[in-house]
Amino acid sequence: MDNDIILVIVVATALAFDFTNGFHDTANVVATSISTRALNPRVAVALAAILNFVGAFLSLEVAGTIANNIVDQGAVTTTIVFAGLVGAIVWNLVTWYFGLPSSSSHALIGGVVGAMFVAVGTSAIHGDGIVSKVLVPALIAPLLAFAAAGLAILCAYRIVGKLAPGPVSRGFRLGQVFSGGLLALAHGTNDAQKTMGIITLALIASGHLGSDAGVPTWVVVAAASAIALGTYLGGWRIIKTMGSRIIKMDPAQGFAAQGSGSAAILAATHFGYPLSTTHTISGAVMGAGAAKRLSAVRWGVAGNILVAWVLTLPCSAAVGGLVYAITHLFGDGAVGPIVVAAAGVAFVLWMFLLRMRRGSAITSTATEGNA
Amino acid sequence: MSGLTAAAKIVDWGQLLEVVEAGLLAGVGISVAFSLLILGTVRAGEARAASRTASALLHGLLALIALIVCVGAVVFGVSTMLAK
Repeated sequence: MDNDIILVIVVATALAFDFTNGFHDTANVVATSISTRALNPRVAVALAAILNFVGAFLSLEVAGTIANNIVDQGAVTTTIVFAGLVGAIVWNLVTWYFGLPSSSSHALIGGVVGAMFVAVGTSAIHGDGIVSKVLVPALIAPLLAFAAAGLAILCAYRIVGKLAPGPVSRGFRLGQVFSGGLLALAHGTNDAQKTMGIITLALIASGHLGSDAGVPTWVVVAAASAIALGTYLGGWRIIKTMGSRIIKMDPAQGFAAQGSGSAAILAATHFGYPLSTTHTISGAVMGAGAAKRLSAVRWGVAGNILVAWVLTLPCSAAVGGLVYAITHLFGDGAVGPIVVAAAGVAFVLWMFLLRMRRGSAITSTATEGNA
Repeated sequence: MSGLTAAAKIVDWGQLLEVVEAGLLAGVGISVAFSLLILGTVRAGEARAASRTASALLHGLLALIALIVCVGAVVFGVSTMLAK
């Protein structure tokens, strides 16, 4: 009975994480399209939501759970998964509050590693996997995208520089519809897969699925719906940061950032080296701005983003570890996860009421600023 | 220092170089191809309006080739996602 209650809480928490993932990462996909006016904000977000939903169905072969290569899978319990998810959700909400783009995948990895560290110790954590699969790609993604987008915008200006600005801007705006669409699809296949993997892992750990079972259809539909809903409701604070606070973009820069960013992600994926969409697109936006003029990039904002990236793993790990320790105080049953989940829901409701009392929603301000 | 040496051994540098090359090539390539598509389309339109048929054909061909490269890149991207 306890096992079933924990499983229900884990599934609900995983879907909540998936929702914050879509909510948080919408900016990666749509910010440049909105700030260059390639798309109306509502249309851009709706398109991204639909393509994220479709993307989640494109690749049903789960390449491995988020914990693959990072922690000892044999030692994973549903409580550890729950604590890891809470750590990731908390970090996603904190970075959303400050309008900072940060990797939801890194937040999830950090949360699971922190919970595993408190539960089992260092023996269950694969340090080499963290270095090769998490830290090195985190360093490579923004640098590669920065260089690619910088070179791309220099080439683009050289090619179309002597043409009338009107048709050039219209052309790049049209191009952004496709590059943004490709990015949304890539995001759907990447990130919704991780939640599907986590739920499947929990179903296997609780004995509801065999160890060699595939992903159940209801899990695919639920994960795709959660990420699409989160994307549709959108994280306007981060859209504002990505779309206009790092650099003021023209349509050519927007296309260079989105096009070279998504091309770099897909080329790297082709060679079996998946890169974070957040890190890649943030680096590409900075590269497209810096290549035109170094002072065009607001380096203070870029620095804040960098600090958030560095803090993602340790902070989400700390929260994941703390949540595991708290749930463990109540024993191995369902009481701990119930208490933590109830406290989390109460906190979110309190924040919501606070926001309602303060008046205008964040969304309207950010939309006006970007539209 | 030993930590750095250990990290250097863990990373597959050959694969990393491959990723950097492919990422740069794809990232810059798609922007160059799309810029050429715009250049070809605009110049072909101008040439057609000025009744310069040869120039219109040449720029039209450039735009067509660039379009094929762009569509190919999108197809490659989607097939990469499907193959994951």
